Amino acid sequence: MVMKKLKELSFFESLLEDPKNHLVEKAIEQGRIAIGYNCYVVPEPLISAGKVFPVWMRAPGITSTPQADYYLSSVICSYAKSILEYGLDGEYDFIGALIFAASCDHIRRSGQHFHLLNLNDDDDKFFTYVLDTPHKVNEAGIHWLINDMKKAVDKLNENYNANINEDTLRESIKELNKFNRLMKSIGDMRKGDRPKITGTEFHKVYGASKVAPKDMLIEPLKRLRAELEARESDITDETRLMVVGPNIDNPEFIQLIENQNAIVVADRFCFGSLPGMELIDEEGDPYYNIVKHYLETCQCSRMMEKGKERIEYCSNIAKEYNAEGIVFETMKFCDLWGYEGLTYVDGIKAHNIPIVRIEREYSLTGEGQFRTRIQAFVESIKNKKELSVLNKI
Amino acid sequence: MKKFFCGCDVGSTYTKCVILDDEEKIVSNATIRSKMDPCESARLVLLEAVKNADGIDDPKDFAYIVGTGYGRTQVELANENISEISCHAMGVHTVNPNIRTIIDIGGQDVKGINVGEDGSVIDFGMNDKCAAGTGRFFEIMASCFEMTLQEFSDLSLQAKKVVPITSQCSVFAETEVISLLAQKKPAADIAAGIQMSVAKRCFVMIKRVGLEEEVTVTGGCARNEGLILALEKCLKVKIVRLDVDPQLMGALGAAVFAYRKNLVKCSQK
Repeated sequence: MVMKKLKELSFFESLLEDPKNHLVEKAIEQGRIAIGYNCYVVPEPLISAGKVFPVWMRAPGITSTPQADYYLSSVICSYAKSILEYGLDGEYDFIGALIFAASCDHIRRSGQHFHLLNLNDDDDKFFTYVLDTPHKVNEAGIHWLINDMKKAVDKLNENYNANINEDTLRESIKELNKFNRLMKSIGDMRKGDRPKITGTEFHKVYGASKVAPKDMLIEPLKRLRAELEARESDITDETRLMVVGPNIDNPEFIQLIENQNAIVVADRFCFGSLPGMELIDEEGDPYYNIVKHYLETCQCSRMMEKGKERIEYCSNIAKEYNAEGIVFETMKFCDLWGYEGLTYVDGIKAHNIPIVRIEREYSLTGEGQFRTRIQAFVESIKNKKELSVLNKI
Repeated sequence: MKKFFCGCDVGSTYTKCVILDDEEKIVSNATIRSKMDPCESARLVLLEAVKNADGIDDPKDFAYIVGTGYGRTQVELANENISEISCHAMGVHTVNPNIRTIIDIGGQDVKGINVGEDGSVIDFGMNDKCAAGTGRFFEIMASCFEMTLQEFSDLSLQAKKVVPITSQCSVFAETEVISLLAQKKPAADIAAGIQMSVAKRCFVMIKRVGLEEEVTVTGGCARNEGLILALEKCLKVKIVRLDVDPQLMGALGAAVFAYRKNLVKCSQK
């Protein structure tokens, strides 16, 4: 699959090269405060209000984690270690706070070391905060999280005069909805028989939207959409796949899958878009709307009592996007998704959707083995089609 | 003019080639030790296989070539490459269509493959993270006994009991074996322990994929009769011995794919 290079794509690609990209630098120069986060249930509108903006914690290009290996146990996942390694290297010195959720213990351990090791403490303003996000969706849980979120907001206002209040939160919700309408119009281009955007391209764009202020991305995104609308698709007989699992923030993973005569048309991973592009209610209490939205739409295995719903969700997405198979990727030592796999794989098979389970590290090591597995999976789907052709000869 | 089809399996330790004629019959095969450069391995094995075949003198004259194995993308003359998982399934299906589970023990990884009635891959699992339980592991173990792989296999068949090997890691297992030899434990019993430790690693992977009879073993290690017996004991199934060299199954499957791909190509003209 070789699609003509998109002119507007290089702008988004440049944002993924370093944690402190040129838009982050520009925003900081304007007096805005970068807030590090790394979980879907740390609501983006909360850390996009007033003077703050969100930056998804990544470690682009990391190859090893020798310092983090010293501080963290050998059974902590390589994503949590990579983030800490970058913190220890000073790559995240620009963030004003690190807000994470009580989703997985590995991320908590990683985040706590930012605090314990005083990684960003030059001016005594930096802080880390763990949102005590409930694992079930009900009214009591919603109000519990609202109270907790308000404590984080108080800390941001106190330390940085961040100007986060109900009015700026409403504006933040409106802006995110505006952005998501635009992003969804691009995401929907993956559904058709001949998608105009590859999975790799989409994830470069979507990934970039997580590491820079959204308001600075709207115009480039509009230009990209216009270019895509005029684009001729070269997609013909590529096998259509959906990717499901924990955090992927490196588009090279998607590229590697697509290099095996496949196209990734849908996704459900922590840095992905489904869920992620739904609209938040703009009327009423912004705190309530935000918390309700993120708890209800969350499709992470951290949410208890939603296991069957997650299987149904992915099955429906696979149908909606015409995915012929699912790549279920888990990161080594990931407790949440490792456990999820026990029921998920059989659940998806029961829907007659081919699925392959692949364990990987955060960085792209063992590329050859990863490629072999994906290629064999694509072939197992394709060969069925080919055998039917041969039988007719 | 007769057409010929080629499957070239560039493995980490050995490179194999199978040539089929236009009646889908094997006319030649070749196996060489893999070189550092996979391109060179492929070039040499093709020349070797052609040398043994009647009716074709030059690798450039093949109607269709499929590359497989870890160096599959490096077969310069190949029309396309197909993963070794699909090729092993197709190769075994061609030799014995009743096989439903394949244990492929290669030089650097171990695979469990479920095969459908048509030779397609139903499911598969791989151990590719370390050398434990692979052909490389056996080479290291045989070197502890200063033996060839065949001698090591024969030795294990003479065991009166099995001395358990606790280490899964190739490096630590080597240390453990050297210690056991120093303790004057019978060499045959230690060798049988090594075979059983590998069989147990395969047990875990095969159980995950799903064990369905009939079962066979492919790859270079399929010649290790001591391992086959340990697998039979561990998995509690009879392992089917194939009529064609099990090390050639990847190359054979690739050649069958080459034959079929050519049919599809011709039908589309």
